[in-house]
Amino acid sequence: MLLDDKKIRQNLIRAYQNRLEIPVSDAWQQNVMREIRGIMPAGSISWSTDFSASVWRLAPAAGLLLILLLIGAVWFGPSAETVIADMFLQNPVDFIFGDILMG
Amino acid sequence: MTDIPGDNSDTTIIDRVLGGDINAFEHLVTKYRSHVFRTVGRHVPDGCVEETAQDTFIRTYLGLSGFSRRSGFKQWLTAIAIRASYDCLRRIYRSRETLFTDLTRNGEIDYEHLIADYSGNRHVENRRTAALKELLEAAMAQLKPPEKMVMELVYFEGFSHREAADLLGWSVANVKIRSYRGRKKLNTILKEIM
Repeated sequence: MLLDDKKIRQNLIRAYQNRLEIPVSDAWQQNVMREIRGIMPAGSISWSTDFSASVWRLAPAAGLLLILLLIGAVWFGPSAETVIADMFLQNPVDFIFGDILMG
Repeated sequence: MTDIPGDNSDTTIIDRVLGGDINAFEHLVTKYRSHVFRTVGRHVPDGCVEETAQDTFIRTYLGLSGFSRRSGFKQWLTAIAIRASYDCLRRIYRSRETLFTDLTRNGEIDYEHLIADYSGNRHVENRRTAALKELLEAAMAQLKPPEKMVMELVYFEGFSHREAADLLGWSVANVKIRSYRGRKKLNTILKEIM
């Protein structure tokens, strides 16, 4: 391979390194600091960042929990709470919670 | 810029910035701006260096609370600069205009001698290196950003695959694949030119 040739590699590296250094101006630094001062303080930024990071960190656990709940729902059928909620939604006017509690 | 009495190590400055003293961040900018310009300048075109260096410091500021302090601040900053450069390369790649055919059509320059010879004469070498640099930049511009970035880090700057992977935040396997593809592609481009 052409690039494995020692001489060619040296020449290419020499050409690669032959870049003029861009001088850093004070105006550039002032601009950077102006931008940074316009941002919230570094310590107070974390809540939104942390929140989104935490949400994604919890995503696999939430996915697993959802699958377990689905399996549970299929396996055990509708629970008492679901039946009560269903009764309430079907006839909210006549629904008396006390009747259910008293049997 | 505010004066920091006593210990003005990076850690002390970072603590002050996190404590709400935004102006203390300027100490870090002053201390590392040349390093960031050099790092960024090796990967992005001259016209993008200032913007990418600024982006690097803004990302650094934004991520300061997440700095683990296990590695040194300079190393962390370098990784941010490399990633900012990579993002800049991706933007440039999407809107690139230089075509490989522009290079191959130019029959006036003897690229074969340019790439393989070394005369020892300083003036000849300076001219030759400048022409070779132009050739290399045009050839490297044909590579996709991941391959270009890895080639620069591994082939031209001598980082190991592991070090390049740490800097870019990629897996070692990914770096090895990009490195292999980059070398192969650059080899083909240079062969076609010569």
